[in-house]
Amino acid sequence: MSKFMSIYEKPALLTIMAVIVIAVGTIVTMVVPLFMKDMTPHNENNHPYTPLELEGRDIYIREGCNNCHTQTVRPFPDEQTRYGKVSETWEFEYDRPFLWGSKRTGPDLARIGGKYPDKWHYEHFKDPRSIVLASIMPSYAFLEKNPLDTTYTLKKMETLDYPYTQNELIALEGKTEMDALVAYLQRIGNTQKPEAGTKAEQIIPADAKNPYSADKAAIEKGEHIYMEKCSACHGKDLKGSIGPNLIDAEWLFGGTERDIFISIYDGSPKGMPSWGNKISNDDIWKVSAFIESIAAGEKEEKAVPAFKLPDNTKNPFEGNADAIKTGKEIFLKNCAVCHKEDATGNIGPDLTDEEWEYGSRDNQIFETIYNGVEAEGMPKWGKNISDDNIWKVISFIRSVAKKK
Amino acid sequence: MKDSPTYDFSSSRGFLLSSLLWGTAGLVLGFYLAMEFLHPQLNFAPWITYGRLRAAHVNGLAIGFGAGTIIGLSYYMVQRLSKATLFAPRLARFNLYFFNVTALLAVVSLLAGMTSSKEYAELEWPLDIMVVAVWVMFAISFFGTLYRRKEKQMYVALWYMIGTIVTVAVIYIVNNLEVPISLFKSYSVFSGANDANVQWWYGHNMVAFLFTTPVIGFFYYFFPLSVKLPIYSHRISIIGFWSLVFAYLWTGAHHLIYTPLPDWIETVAIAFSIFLIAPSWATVINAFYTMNGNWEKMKSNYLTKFFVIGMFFYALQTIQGPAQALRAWSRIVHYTDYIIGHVHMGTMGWVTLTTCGSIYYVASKLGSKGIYSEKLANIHFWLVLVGQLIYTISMWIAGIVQGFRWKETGADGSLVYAFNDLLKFNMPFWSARSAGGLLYLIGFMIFIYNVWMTLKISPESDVKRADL
Repeated sequence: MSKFMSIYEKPALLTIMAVIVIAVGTIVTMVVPLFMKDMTPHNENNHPYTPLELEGRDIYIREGCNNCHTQTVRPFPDEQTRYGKVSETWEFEYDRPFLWGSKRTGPDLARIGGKYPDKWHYEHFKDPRSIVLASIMPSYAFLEKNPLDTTYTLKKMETLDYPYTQNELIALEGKTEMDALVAYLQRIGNTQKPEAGTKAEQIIPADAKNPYSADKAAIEKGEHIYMEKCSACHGKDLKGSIGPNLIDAEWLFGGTERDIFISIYDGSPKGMPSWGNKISNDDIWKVSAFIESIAAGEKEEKAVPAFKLPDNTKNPFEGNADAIKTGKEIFLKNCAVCHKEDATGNIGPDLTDEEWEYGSRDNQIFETIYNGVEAEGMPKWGKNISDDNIWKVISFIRSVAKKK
Repeated sequence: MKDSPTYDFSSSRGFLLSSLLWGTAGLVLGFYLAMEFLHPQLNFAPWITYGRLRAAHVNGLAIGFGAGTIIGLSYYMVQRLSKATLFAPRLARFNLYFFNVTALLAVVSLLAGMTSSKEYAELEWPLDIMVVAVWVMFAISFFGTLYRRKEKQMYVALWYMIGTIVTVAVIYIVNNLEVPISLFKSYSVFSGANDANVQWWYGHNMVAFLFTTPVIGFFYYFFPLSVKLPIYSHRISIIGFWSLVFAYLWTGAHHLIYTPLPDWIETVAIAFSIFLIAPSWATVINAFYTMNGNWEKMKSNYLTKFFVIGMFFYALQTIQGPAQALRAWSRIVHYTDYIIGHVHMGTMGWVTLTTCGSIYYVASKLGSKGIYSEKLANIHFWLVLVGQLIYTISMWIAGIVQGFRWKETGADGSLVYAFNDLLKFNMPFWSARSAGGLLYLIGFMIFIYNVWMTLKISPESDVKRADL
């Protein structure tokens, strides 16, 4: 015992013993994992940050966003409903430092990318309480005034060994700090494929009707929910701001009671969050009852129904060379501003690819041009261009699409 | 008396006074942060937004108050326990100035947004180097004095300080390994899950070796001296020391339960967290058995309650902590304000009560006339006790309700509470927290006044004398 006790007479020996004792747990739980593959798995969907995203991430770090927001979804049903798919190890391969956080004063951000449109984030950063009334988040309006400092961007990309293009670096010119931060937020969690959660189609019968259409108390409750959760994007008057107008009788995703329920439940990839299970199905019906009640009042004032054609109407000028030529002239004059001279899209979408947001049949394209898409800024051309000329423009669009 | 060495407590006094200054700054920042929860408009300039201020609060207190008191009280203990004068007193004096410059630059740089984002390791690399330099200079003075000692045996308090010095050095350096981009920016050498694992290996052991082992060291030295009772069992203190420093290093991943970290690391951490109750309670039992039959000292000796109630909170803390490591409880309280309550019981209860008791003792020894006012010390005690209890209990309630309500689902499987509903629910509890924090701050100011007045009545010459 006395020999053993001599350790307490020798500071160097005691120090060495202490180092050995702390080394055991350190080696097993911290050093060994550094060499284990399951700590750094790679997934082909994952990719490093772009220069703009990386600069945005550094602003996220600078402002200490991780003090209030976590970036890991835990494997519980409530978190999957509230935030999205459970976080996986490979998603964080390029994160230096990691930003998982330890406190949720604000919500988790692991799946924030793509949840809202950019404009939502700009408005929210400038004045959080204009979007979320109960929010206690600081205002970050100053980020919009600060030009992005790109002095070290190149060095950062090289140090981290992330691929980049000269164009990406040039594109940083003129960006603000807020631009970068929004770009980063829209990237978070985006390499993960969204989970195939419950879709409204699975829970709602084909002939579903709103049970609250004429229920005053329910409509009032719906109004309350709308004002709290929907009005920031669709406006207190329902006429839209970040999101589309809800009372102009134009429904992007269908206007039946069932369609509206589905739109609210599933959300849309364009930045409408999915509300399914975040509020009860009952509450979804109540909100739509409220919207319908306001829309019905509006309709009486200006009931101009959208122009419709029979489903299998064909373009009378399909393939006609003269018509394509005329169509091109009309297109260059009226449409190229948004869709570009070669119709590959700029402000408006690409018209030469396979994707038709509002339907690819001749009659659907005609209706889209004729009626316009107010929420997207596409004018109602039916008032200014004759029906024949609309068909000719379609012929032109079809001709450039085919060439591809 | 002829053989008695000449002690040099001037640097010790300097560190203690500096730490009181940083303690005040840290508490004021903490109170402001608490108010920002109630009034988000208080985030009116980038420098004082919550995200930056929180790091300044934590580091101001961990480095300024925590490290400051550790160094200050160690310089006192190591001389007394070695019966030797401080080694390289001019180095210690330089360290005092360098420490204050480091703490100031730390707070300013964090407010400017220079941060690596890792909790308790936010400082950017140039400041990391300065912090390490402070620690190395401290180690040189400490071990140098230890080698001059005339007492053969090293008392248990010294083992705890040795454990503190080496472990803090190791974990601080490893977790702050980063590649500099500029003077103000760097990237961690670890990425993703590894970075998280290294960080919480560090983070939890920062709690262990900055807020636990040195404070146990203070306790083993200043508690028996203050209450004038011998420690109950030397053997328990030996077992407690080795099992504590062994077990702590395994537990970091209990901060990462249900994150994308491999399950086995979490499970090992949980197991060792439960085991930690044993060495923690070894100290608790040693303390309470020391008091056995002498409880009247709670009344007759003003310092006793600082140590005994401090130890009571340590006992509670070391049950609460392992409980939080359990998956079943972690899934409820993790990420909520409950954890904030837990941390603040540790710091506002155990750490500062014990540290303040120790500082009272040192101050009354350095001041030739004893403590300036026992009455003020009592007022200080009750204010910080009540303030802390209001703070922590309100955060526990808020956190538990938050944790359960986040999970609550209705008949159709939909969430019952939106995230914001719980912000509204928390408001009264956050208000109570601010009120508790304010009481605590007032108590701390009274403490500083009392210490200042105690030291003021001792001229410089008193600080360097043989017989204290």
